[in-house]
Amino acid sequence: MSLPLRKRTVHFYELIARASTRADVKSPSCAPLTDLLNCFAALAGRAKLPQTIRRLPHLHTVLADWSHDAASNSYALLICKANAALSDVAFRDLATSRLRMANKTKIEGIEVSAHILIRPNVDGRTAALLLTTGAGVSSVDVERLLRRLAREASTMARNSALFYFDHPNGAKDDAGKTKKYRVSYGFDTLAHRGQTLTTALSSGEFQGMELIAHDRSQFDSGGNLLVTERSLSVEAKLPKIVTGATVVNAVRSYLKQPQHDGYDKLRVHYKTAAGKSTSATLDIQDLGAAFTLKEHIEFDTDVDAQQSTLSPVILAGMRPLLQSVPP
Amino acid sequence: MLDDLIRPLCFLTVRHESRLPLSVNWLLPALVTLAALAALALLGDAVNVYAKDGLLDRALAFTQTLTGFYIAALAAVSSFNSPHLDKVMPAPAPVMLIKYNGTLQPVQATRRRFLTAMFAYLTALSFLFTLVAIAALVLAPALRLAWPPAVPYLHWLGLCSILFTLCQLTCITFWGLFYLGERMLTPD
Repeated sequence: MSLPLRKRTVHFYELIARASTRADVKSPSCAPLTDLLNCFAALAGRAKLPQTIRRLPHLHTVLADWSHDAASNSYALLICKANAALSDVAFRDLATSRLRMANKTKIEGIEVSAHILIRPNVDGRTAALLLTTGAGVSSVDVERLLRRLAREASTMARNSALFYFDHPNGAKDDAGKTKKYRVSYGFDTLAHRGQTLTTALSSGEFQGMELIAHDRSQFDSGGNLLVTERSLSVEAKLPKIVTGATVVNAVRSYLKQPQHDGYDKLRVHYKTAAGKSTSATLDIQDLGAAFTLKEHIEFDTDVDAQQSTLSPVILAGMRPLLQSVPP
Repeated sequence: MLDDLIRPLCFLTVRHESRLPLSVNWLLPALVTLAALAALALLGDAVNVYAKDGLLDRALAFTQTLTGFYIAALAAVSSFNSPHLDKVMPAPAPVMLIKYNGTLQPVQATRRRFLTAMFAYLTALSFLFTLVAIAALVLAPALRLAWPPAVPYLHWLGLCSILFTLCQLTCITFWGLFYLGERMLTPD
Protein backbone atom coordinates (compact mmCIF):
# COMPACT_ATOMS: atom_id res chain seq x y z
CA MET A 1 0.00 0.00 0.00
CA SER A 2 1.43 3.40 -0.88
CA LEU A 3 0.37 6.96 -1.42
CA PRO A 4 1.26 9.38 -4.23
CA LEU A 5 4.26 11.54 -3.38
CA ARG A 6 2.63 14.87 -4.16
CA LYS A 7 -1.07 14.34 -3.60
CA ARG A 8 -3.49 13.45 -0.85
CA THR A 9 -7.25 13.12 -0.69
CA VAL A 10 -8.84 14.68 2.36
CA HIS A 11 -12.21 13.57 3.65
CA PHE A 12 -14.27 15.81 5.88
CA TYR A 13 -16.08 14.54 8.94
CA GLU A 14 -17.97 16.01 11.81
CA LEU A 15 -16.72 14.87 15.21
CA ILE A 16 -19.40 14.80 17.90
CA ALA A 17 -18.67 14.41 21.60
CA ARG A 18 -21.41 12.88 23.72
CA ALA A 19 -21.55 12.38 27.43
CA SER A 20 -23.22 9.44 29.14
CA THR A 21 -23.71 8.66 32.79
CA ARG A 22 -24.96 5.86 35.00
CA ALA A 23 -26.66 8.42 37.26
CA ASP A 24 -30.32 9.14 36.75
CA VAL A 25 -29.70 12.14 34.52
CA LYS A 26 -31.41 12.17 31.13
CA SER A 27 -29.19 14.74 29.46
CA PRO A 28 -25.78 14.75 31.16
CA SER A 29 -23.53 17.75 30.85
CA CYS A 30 -20.61 17.63 28.48
CA ALA A 31 -17.33 19.49 28.84
CA PRO A 32 -16.40 21.70 25.88
CA LEU A 33 -14.58 19.73 23.21
CA THR A 34 -11.69 22.20 23.30
CA ASP A 35 -11.11 21.46 26.99
CA LEU A 36 -11.23 17.72 26.33
CA LEU A 37 -8.76 17.95 23.48
CA ASN A 38 -6.39 20.10 25.56
CA CYS A 39 -6.60 17.48 28.28
CA PHE A 40 -5.87 14.71 25.79
CA ALA A 41 -2.93 16.66 24.42
CA ALA A 42 -1.33 16.51 27.87
CA LEU A 43 -1.67 12.72 27.80
CA ALA A 44 -0.17 12.51 24.32
CA GLY A 45 3.02 14.42 25.03
CA ARG A 46 6.15 13.67 23.04
CA ALA A 47 7.57 11.48 25.77
CA LYS A 48 4.54 9.20 25.66
CA LEU A 49 4.43 8.69 21.90
CA PRO A 50 3.91 6.51 19.95
CA GLN A 51 0.74 5.33 21.70
CA THR A 52 -1.02 2.22 20.52
CA ILE A 53 -4.57 2.80 19.36
CA ARG A 54 -5.30 -0.71 18.26
CA ARG A 55 -3.29 -3.88 17.97
CA LEU A 56 -4.39 -6.94 16.03
CA PRO A 57 -2.30 -9.92 14.90
CA HIS A 58 -1.59 -8.27 11.54
CA LEU A 59 -2.33 -4.62 12.24
CA HIS A 60 -0.86 -2.07 14.57
CA THR A 61 -2.26 1.44 14.67
CA VAL A 62 -0.43 4.09 16.68
CA LEU A 63 -0.73 7.75 17.47
CA ALA A 64 2.67 9.00 16.41
CA ASP A 65 2.42 12.74 16.88
CA TRP A 66 0.08 15.44 18.20
CA SER A 67 0.26 19.22 18.05
CA HIS A 68 -1.95 22.24 18.52
CA ASP A 69 -2.01 25.26 16.22
CA ALA A 70 -3.39 28.28 18.04
CA ALA A 71 -3.70 30.34 14.84
CA SER A 72 -6.25 28.03 13.25
CA ASN A 73 -7.45 26.63 16.63
CA SER A 74 -6.85 23.14 15.31
CA TYR A 75 -5.28 19.99 16.65
CA ALA A 76 -3.11 17.97 14.30
CA LEU A 77 -2.72 14.23 14.81
CA LEU A 78 -0.50 11.75 13.02
CA ILE A 79 -1.82 8.22 13.04
CA CYS A 80 0.22 5.44 11.48
CA LYS A 81 -1.05 2.02 10.58
CA ALA A 82 1.32 -0.88 10.01
CA ASN A 83 -0.08 -3.85 8.11
CA ALA A 84 1.82 -7.14 8.25
CA ALA A 85 -0.62 -8.83 5.86
CA LEU A 86 0.98 -7.05 2.91
CA SER A 87 3.65 -8.71 0.83
CA ASP A 88 7.29 -7.67 0.80
CA VAL A 89 8.13 -4.66 -1.36
CA ALA A 90 10.51 -4.94 -4.30
CA PHE A 91 12.62 -2.04 -5.59
CA ARG A 92 14.03 -2.02 -9.10
CA ASP A 93 16.65 0.50 -10.08
CA LEU A 94 15.15 2.11 -13.15
CA ALA A 95 18.61 2.81 -14.66
CA THR A 96 20.38 -0.46 -13.96
CA SER A 97 17.34 -2.77 -13.67
CA ARG A 98 18.84 -4.09 -10.43
CA LEU A 99 16.26 -5.55 -8.08
CA ARG A 100 16.34 -5.19 -4.31
CA MET A 101 13.84 -6.61 -1.82
CA ALA A 102 12.90 -4.74 1.33
CA ASN A 103 13.12 -8.06 3.19
CA LYS A 104 10.04 -7.48 5.31
CA THR A 105 9.69 -10.15 7.96
CA LYS A 106 6.43 -11.77 8.89
CA ILE A 107 6.12 -9.73 12.08
CA GLU A 108 6.80 -6.41 10.39
CA GLY A 109 4.03 -4.36 8.84
CA ILE A 110 4.25 -1.85 6.05
CA GLU A 111 3.37 1.45 7.68
CA VAL A 112 1.50 4.32 6.09
CA SER A 113 0.55 7.56 7.84
CA ALA A 114 -2.60 9.62 7.95
CA HIS A 115 -2.79 13.23 9.00
CA ILE A 116 -5.82 14.42 10.92
CA LEU A 117 -6.89 17.97 11.69
CA ILE A 118 -9.54 18.61 14.32
CA ARG A 119 -11.03 22.08 14.66
CA PRO A 120 -13.62 22.52 17.45
CA ASN A 121 -16.77 24.34 16.40
CA VAL A 122 -18.31 27.21 18.32
CA ASP A 123 -21.08 25.03 19.77
CA GLY A 124 -18.50 23.28 21.96
CA ARG A 125 -19.67 19.74 21.23
CA THR A 126 -18.71 19.22 17.62
CA ALA A 127 -15.61 19.70 15.56
CA ALA A 128 -14.63 19.58 11.94
CA LEU A 129 -12.33 16.62 11.32
CA LEU A 130 -10.17 16.34 8.22
CA LEU A 131 -8.49 13.04 7.45
CA THR A 132 -6.08 12.13 4.68
CA THR A 133 -7.18 8.86 3.18
CA GLY A 134 -5.31 5.98 1.64
CA ALA A 135 -3.43 4.85 4.74
CA GLY A 136 -6.13 2.52 5.96
CA VAL A 137 -6.74 4.88 8.86
CA SER A 138 -10.39 5.67 9.24
CA SER A 139 -12.44 7.99 11.38
CA VAL A 140 -13.23 4.98 13.57
CA ASP A 141 -9.55 4.89 14.60
CA VAL A 142 -9.84 8.52 15.68
CA GLU A 143 -12.98 7.70 17.69
CA ARG A 144 -11.17 4.80 19.33
CA LEU A 145 -8.18 6.97 20.19
CA LEU A 146 -10.25 9.74 21.72
CA ARG A 147 -12.30 7.25 23.76
CA ARG A 148 -9.15 5.67 25.12
CA LEU A 149 -7.68 9.04 26.01
CA ALA A 150 -10.94 10.02 27.68
CA ARG A 151 -10.90 6.86 29.79
CA GLU A 152 -7.31 7.54 30.79
CA ALA A 153 -8.02 11.20 31.58
CA SER A 154 -11.01 10.28 33.75
CA THR A 155 -8.77 8.46 36.23
CA MET A 156 -6.78 11.61 37.03
CA ALA A 157 -7.92 13.92 39.81
CA ARG A 158 -6.74 17.05 37.99
CA ASN A 159 -9.29 16.38 35.22
CA SER A 160 -12.25 15.99 37.57
CA ALA A 161 -13.87 19.21 36.33
CA LEU A 162 -14.28 17.54 32.92
CA PHE A 163 -15.85 14.36 34.26
CA TYR A 164 -17.83 15.38 37.34
CA PHE A 165 -20.79 17.76 37.20
CA ASP A 166 -23.18 19.06 39.84
CA HIS A 167 -26.29 16.92 40.12
CA PRO A 168 -29.36 18.72 38.76
CA ASN A 169 -31.27 18.27 42.02
CA GLY A 170 -28.86 20.70 43.68
CA ALA A 171 -28.53 18.54 46.79
CA LYS A 172 -25.49 18.80 49.07
CA ASP A 173 -23.91 16.14 51.22
CA ASP A 174 -23.23 16.34 54.97
CA ALA A 175 -20.00 18.20 54.33
CA GLY A 176 -21.89 20.87 52.39
CA LYS A 177 -20.44 19.85 49.04
CA THR A 178 -22.74 19.67 46.06
CA LYS A 179 -23.45 16.12 44.98
CA LYS A 180 -21.98 15.32 41.62
CA TYR A 181 -22.44 12.73 38.93
CA ARG A 182 -19.76 11.26 36.73
CA VAL A 183 -19.86 11.22 32.95
CA SER A 184 -17.95 9.23 30.41
CA TYR A 185 -17.41 10.38 26.86
CA GLY A 186 -18.04 8.79 23.52
CA PHE A 187 -17.10 10.22 20.16
CA ASP A 188 -18.84 9.78 16.85
CA THR A 189 -17.69 10.83 13.42
CA LEU A 190 -20.14 11.47 10.64
CA ALA A 191 -19.21 12.14 7.04
CA HIS A 192 -19.56 15.88 6.74
CA ARG A 193 -22.61 16.39 4.61
CA GLY A 194 -22.29 20.11 4.85
CA GLN A 195 -22.06 20.92 1.22
CA THR A 196 -24.91 21.50 -1.18
CA LEU A 197 -24.66 22.24 -4.86
CA THR A 198 -25.66 25.84 -4.21
CA THR A 199 -22.96 26.48 -1.60
CA ALA A 200 -20.34 24.56 -3.59
CA LEU A 201 -20.87 26.70 -6.68
CA SER A 202 -21.35 29.95 -4.79
CA SER A 203 -17.97 29.61 -3.12
CA GLY A 204 -16.32 27.71 -5.95
CA GLU A 205 -16.42 27.58 -9.75
CA PHE A 206 -18.30 25.26 -12.06
CA GLN A 207 -16.09 23.20 -14.37
CA GLY A 208 -18.47 20.74 -15.98
CA MET A 209 -21.04 18.09 -15.32
CA GLU A 210 -22.19 14.70 -16.51
CA LEU A 211 -25.66 13.25 -16.55
CA ILE A 212 -25.46 9.53 -15.98
CA ALA A 213 -28.04 6.93 -16.87
CA HIS A 214 -27.88 3.38 -15.55
CA ASP A 215 -29.86 1.30 -17.95
CA ARG A 216 -28.99 -1.94 -19.58
CA SER A 217 -29.25 -2.22 -23.30
CA GLN A 218 -27.80 -4.52 -25.90
CA PHE A 219 -24.40 -3.59 -27.21
CA ASP A 220 -23.66 -6.36 -29.66
CA SER A 221 -25.89 -8.36 -31.99
CA GLY A 222 -25.36 -11.53 -29.99
CA GLY A 223 -26.65 -9.97 -26.82
CA ASN A 224 -23.67 -10.99 -24.76
CA LEU A 225 -22.33 -7.48 -24.31
CA LEU A 226 -24.55 -5.02 -22.54
CA VAL A 227 -24.43 -1.27 -22.07
CA THR A 228 -24.76 -0.63 -18.32
CA GLU A 229 -24.18 3.11 -18.14
CA ARG A 230 -24.27 6.04 -20.46
CA SER A 231 -23.34 9.59 -19.71
CA LEU A 232 -23.80 13.01 -21.22
CA SER A 233 -21.02 15.55 -20.60
CA VAL A 234 -21.89 19.21 -20.31
CA GLU A 235 -19.63 22.21 -19.98
CA ALA A 236 -20.23 25.96 -19.75
CA LYS A 237 -19.01 28.73 -22.04
CA LEU A 238 -18.95 31.08 -19.04
CA PRO A 239 -18.38 28.83 -16.04
CA LYS A 240 -18.13 31.71 -13.57
CA ILE A 241 -21.81 32.59 -13.89
CA VAL A 242 -23.06 29.05 -13.33
CA THR A 243 -24.80 28.71 -9.99
CA GLY A 244 -26.48 25.82 -8.22
CA ALA A 245 -29.87 27.10 -9.31
CA THR A 246 -28.69 27.36 -12.93
CA VAL A 247 -27.61 23.73 -12.90
CA VAL A 248 -30.78 22.48 -11.21
CA ASN A 249 -33.10 24.41 -13.53
CA ALA A 250 -31.17 23.42 -16.64
CA VAL A 251 -31.13 19.74 -15.73
CA ARG A 252 -34.84 19.68 -14.87
CA SER A 253 -35.70 21.49 -18.07
CA TYR A 254 -33.58 19.12 -20.15
CA LEU A 255 -35.06 16.01 -18.55
CA LYS A 256 -38.63 17.18 -19.17
CA GLN A 257 -38.19 16.40 -22.81
CA PRO A 258 -39.33 12.81 -23.42
CA GLN A 259 -36.29 11.80 -25.46
CA HIS A 260 -33.95 12.91 -22.64
CA ASP A 261 -35.29 10.85 -19.77
CA GLY A 262 -33.53 7.93 -18.11
CA TYR A 263 -30.75 9.84 -16.37
CA ASP A 264 -30.60 9.18 -12.65
CA LYS A 265 -27.31 10.70 -11.47
CA LEU A 266 -25.56 14.01 -11.92
CA ARG A 267 -21.83 14.38 -11.38
CA VAL A 268 -20.73 17.99 -11.05
CA HIS A 269 -17.07 18.94 -11.38
CA TYR A 270 -16.13 22.18 -9.68
CA LYS A 271 -13.24 24.08 -8.21
CA THR A 272 -13.49 24.75 -4.49
CA ALA A 273 -12.86 28.04 -2.72
CA ALA A 274 -9.35 26.76 -2.02
CA GLY A 275 -8.79 26.32 -5.75
CA LYS A 276 -8.84 22.52 -5.78
CA SER A 277 -10.79 20.55 -8.37
CA THR A 278 -13.26 18.08 -7.01
CA SER A 279 -16.56 16.52 -7.93
CA ALA A 280 -19.81 15.50 -6.36
CA THR A 281 -22.39 12.98 -7.47
CA LEU A 282 -26.03 13.68 -6.76
CA ASP A 283 -29.30 11.91 -7.32
CA ILE A 284 -31.18 13.59 -10.18
CA GLN A 285 -34.37 13.53 -8.09
CA ASP A 286 -32.69 15.28 -5.19
CA LEU A 287 -30.33 17.89 -6.51
CA GLY A 288 -30.76 20.01 -3.40
CA ALA A 289 -29.35 17.31 -1.12
CA ALA A 290 -26.13 17.80 0.77
CA PHE A 291 -23.18 15.67 -0.23
CA THR A 292 -20.10 14.43 1.50
CA LEU A 293 -17.26 16.88 1.40
CA LYS A 294 -13.86 15.79 0.12
CA GLU A 295 -10.93 17.62 -1.41
CA HIS A 296 -7.66 16.84 -3.11
CA ILE A 297 -4.48 18.60 -2.07
CA GLU A 298 -1.22 18.72 -3.98
CA PHE A 299 2.29 19.55 -2.87
CA ASP A 300 5.30 21.11 -4.48
CA THR A 301 7.67 18.66 -2.83
CA ASP A 302 7.62 14.89 -2.35
CA VAL A 303 6.03 13.67 0.86
CA ASP A 304 6.55 10.07 1.89
CA ALA A 305 3.59 7.87 2.70
CA GLN A 306 5.06 7.15 6.13
CA GLN A 307 5.89 9.94 8.53
CA SER A 308 7.30 9.79 12.05
CA THR A 309 6.24 13.32 12.91
CA LEU A 310 3.58 15.60 11.52
CA SER A 311 4.49 16.79 8.05
CA PRO A 312 4.36 20.58 7.79
CA VAL A 313 3.83 20.23 4.03
CA ILE A 314 0.69 18.14 4.43
CA LEU A 315 -0.64 20.30 7.25
CA ALA A 316 -0.05 23.44 5.19
CA GLY A 317 -2.18 21.87 2.47
CA MET A 318 -4.91 20.80 4.88
CA ARG A 319 -5.32 23.94 7.02
CA PRO A 320 -6.87 26.13 4.27
CA LEU A 321 -9.53 23.43 3.79
CA LEU A 322 -10.92 24.26 7.23
CA GLN A 323 -12.41 27.38 5.68
CA SER A 324 -14.79 25.15 3.70
CA VAL A 325 -16.45 24.11 6.92
CA PRO A 326 -18.28 26.77 8.90
CA PRO A 327 -17.30 26.81 12.58
CA MET B 1 -37.31 30.80 25.10
CA LEU B 2 -41.05 30.60 25.70
CA ASP B 3 -40.75 27.43 27.72
CA ASP B 4 -38.42 29.28 30.10
CA LEU B 5 -41.25 31.74 30.77
CA ILE B 6 -43.62 29.03 31.96
CA ARG B 7 -41.05 27.32 34.17
CA PRO B 8 -42.49 29.03 37.34
CA LEU B 9 -45.42 26.65 36.87
CA CYS B 10 -43.14 23.63 37.36
CA PHE B 11 -44.34 23.41 40.98
CA LEU B 12 -47.44 21.73 39.62
CA THR B 13 -45.27 18.84 38.36
CA VAL B 14 -44.42 17.79 41.92
CA ARG B 15 -45.39 14.19 42.53
CA HIS B 16 -45.29 12.18 45.75
CA GLU B 17 -46.40 8.73 46.70
CA SER B 18 -48.81 10.14 49.27
CA ARG B 19 -50.55 12.22 46.55
CA LEU B 20 -50.39 15.21 48.92
CA PRO B 21 -49.37 17.64 46.13
CA LEU B 22 -52.33 16.46 44.09
CA SER B 23 -54.66 17.03 47.04
CA VAL B 24 -53.33 20.45 48.03
CA ASN B 25 -52.90 21.77 44.48
CA TRP B 26 -56.05 20.44 42.88
CA LEU B 27 -58.44 18.41 44.98
CA LEU B 28 -58.95 20.67 47.98
CA PRO B 29 -59.23 23.87 45.92
CA ALA B 30 -61.72 22.12 43.63
CA LEU B 31 -63.89 21.01 46.55
CA VAL B 32 -63.87 24.46 48.14
CA THR B 33 -64.64 26.04 44.78
CA LEU B 34 -67.61 23.76 44.25
CA ALA B 35 -68.95 24.57 47.70
CA ALA B 36 -68.53 28.29 47.08
CA LEU B 37 -70.18 28.05 43.69
CA ALA B 38 -73.12 26.21 45.21
CA ALA B 39 -73.51 28.93 47.82
CA LEU B 40 -73.31 31.68 45.23
CA ALA B 41 -75.82 29.91 43.02
CA LEU B 42 -78.26 29.84 45.92
CA LEU B 43 -77.73 33.57 46.53
CA GLY B 44 -78.35 34.27 42.82
CA ASP B 45 -78.04 37.83 41.46
CA ALA B 46 -77.68 39.35 44.91
CA VAL B 47 -73.94 38.82 44.79
CA ASN B 48 -71.96 41.44 42.91
CA VAL B 49 -69.10 39.69 41.13
CA TYR B 50 -67.78 41.84 38.29
CA ALA B 51 -68.93 45.33 39.11
CA LYS B 52 -67.23 47.95 41.27
CA ASP B 53 -66.69 46.82 44.86
CA GLY B 54 -67.75 43.34 43.77
CA LEU B 55 -66.08 40.04 44.54
CA LEU B 56 -63.44 40.36 41.82
CA ASP B 57 -62.65 43.96 42.71
CA ARG B 58 -62.10 43.06 46.37
CA ALA B 59 -60.05 39.99 45.50
CA LEU B 60 -57.91 42.11 43.20
CA ALA B 61 -57.14 44.57 45.97
CA PHE B 62 -55.99 41.64 48.09
CA THR B 63 -53.92 39.74 45.51
CA GLN B 64 -52.16 42.89 44.32
CA THR B 65 -50.26 43.00 47.59
CA LEU B 66 -49.43 39.31 47.64
CA THR B 67 -46.98 39.27 44.74
CA GLY B 68 -44.42 41.35 46.61
CA PHE B 69 -44.64 39.17 49.71
CA TYR B 70 -44.22 35.99 47.70
CA ILE B 71 -41.14 37.38 45.96
CA ALA B 72 -39.69 38.33 49.34
CA ALA B 73 -40.33 34.81 50.64
CA LEU B 74 -38.78 33.36 47.49
CA ALA B 75 -35.67 35.49 47.92
CA ALA B 76 -35.43 34.51 51.58
CA VAL B 77 -35.74 30.78 50.97
CA SER B 78 -33.28 30.77 48.09
CA SER B 79 -30.67 32.52 50.23
CA PHE B 80 -31.21 30.81 53.61
CA ASN B 81 -27.90 29.51 54.86
CA SER B 82 -29.14 26.23 56.22
CA PRO B 83 -27.57 22.88 55.35
CA HIS B 84 -30.91 21.11 55.91
CA LEU B 85 -32.45 22.90 52.97
CA ASP B 86 -29.99 21.40 50.53
CA LYS B 87 -30.54 17.80 51.41
CA VAL B 88 -32.89 15.62 49.44
CA MET B 89 -36.18 15.35 51.33
CA PRO B 90 -36.68 12.12 53.28
CA ALA B 91 -37.55 9.07 51.26
CA PRO B 92 -39.74 8.80 49.40
CA ALA B 93 -38.77 12.27 48.27
CA PRO B 94 -41.14 14.21 46.05
CA VAL B 95 -40.10 14.30 42.41
CA MET B 96 -40.46 17.29 40.16
CA LEU B 97 -39.54 18.10 36.59
CA ILE B 98 -36.85 20.69 35.98
CA LYS B 99 -35.20 21.89 32.82
CA TYR B 100 -31.66 20.54 32.59
CA ASN B 101 -29.50 20.69 29.49
CA GLY B 102 -32.50 21.33 27.31
CA THR B 103 -34.60 18.38 28.48
CA LEU B 104 -37.10 17.89 31.29
CA GLN B 105 -35.30 16.02 34.05
CA PRO B 106 -37.15 14.43 36.97
CA VAL B 107 -35.24 15.16 40.19
CA GLN B 108 -35.79 14.35 43.81
CA ALA B 109 -36.55 17.65 45.43
CA THR B 110 -34.49 19.24 48.17
CA ARG B 111 -36.38 21.43 50.64
CA ARG B 112 -34.87 24.53 49.06
CA ARG B 113 -35.96 23.50 45.57
CA PHE B 114 -39.45 22.58 46.79
CA LEU B 115 -39.98 25.86 48.63
CA THR B 116 -38.50 28.09 45.93
CA ALA B 117 -40.64 26.33 43.31
CA MET B 118 -43.70 26.81 45.55
CA PHE B 119 -43.15 30.52 46.07
CA ALA B 120 -42.23 31.06 42.43
CA TYR B 121 -45.54 29.49 41.48
CA LEU B 122 -47.44 31.57 44.03
CA THR B 123 -45.78 34.72 42.72
CA ALA B 124 -46.64 33.84 39.12
CA LEU B 125 -50.21 32.87 40.05
CA SER B 126 -50.95 36.05 42.00
CA PHE B 127 -49.34 38.14 39.25
CA LEU B 128 -51.39 36.50 36.51
CA PHE B 129 -54.57 36.65 38.60
CA THR B 130 -54.05 40.39 39.08
CA LEU B 131 -53.65 40.98 35.36
CA VAL B 132 -56.59 38.79 34.37
CA ALA B 133 -58.79 40.36 37.04
CA ILE B 134 -58.00 43.85 35.78
CA ALA B 135 -58.84 42.77 32.25
CA ALA B 136 -62.08 41.12 33.38
CA LEU B 137 -63.21 44.18 35.31
CA VAL B 138 -62.51 46.43 32.35
CA LEU B 139 -64.09 44.16 29.76
CA ALA B 140 -67.12 42.92 31.70
CA PRO B 141 -69.41 45.93 30.99
CA ALA B 142 -68.41 45.91 27.32
CA LEU B 143 -69.05 42.18 26.95
CA ARG B 144 -72.43 42.54 28.62
CA LEU B 145 -73.44 45.01 25.96
CA ALA B 146 -71.76 43.40 22.98
CA TRP B 147 -72.54 39.74 23.56
CA PRO B 148 -75.58 39.32 25.85
CA PRO B 149 -76.25 35.60 25.09
CA ALA B 150 -72.79 34.66 26.30
CA VAL B 151 -73.02 36.56 29.58
CA PRO B 152 -74.39 33.72 31.79
CA TYR B 153 -71.75 31.26 30.53
CA LEU B 154 -68.93 33.75 30.87
CA HIS B 155 -70.21 34.73 34.31
CA TRP B 156 -70.05 31.22 35.74
CA LEU B 157 -66.86 30.27 33.88
CA GLY B 158 -65.15 33.38 35.16
CA LEU B 159 -66.51 32.91 38.68
CA CYS B 160 -65.30 29.30 38.75
CA SER B 161 -61.84 30.35 37.59
CA ILE B 162 -61.63 33.19 40.14
CA LEU B 163 -62.72 31.00 43.03
CA PHE B 164 -60.45 28.12 42.05
CA THR B 165 -57.45 30.41 41.72
CA LEU B 166 -58.11 32.03 45.09
CA CYS B 167 -58.62 28.66 46.75
CA GLN B 168 -55.48 27.21 45.22
CA LEU B 169 -53.53 30.31 46.22
CA THR B 170 -54.79 29.93 49.77
CA CYS B 171 -54.11 26.20 50.06
CA ILE B 172 -50.58 26.41 48.69
CA THR B 173 -49.81 29.50 50.80
CA PHE B 174 -50.84 27.67 53.97
CA TRP B 175 -48.77 24.69 52.93
CA GLY B 176 -45.80 27.01 52.46
CA LEU B 177 -46.44 28.63 55.83
CA PHE B 178 -46.42 25.18 57.44
CA TYR B 179 -43.04 24.47 55.87
CA LEU B 180 -41.50 27.82 56.78
CA GLY B 181 -43.02 28.04 60.21
CA GLU B 182 -42.60 24.47 61.41
CA ARG B 183 -41.34 21.74 59.12
CA MET B 184 -38.11 23.47 58.19
CA LEU B 185 -37.14 23.71 61.84
CA THR B 186 -38.08 20.14 62.72
CA PRO B 187 -35.32 17.55 62.24
CA ASP B 188 -36.05 14.66 59.91
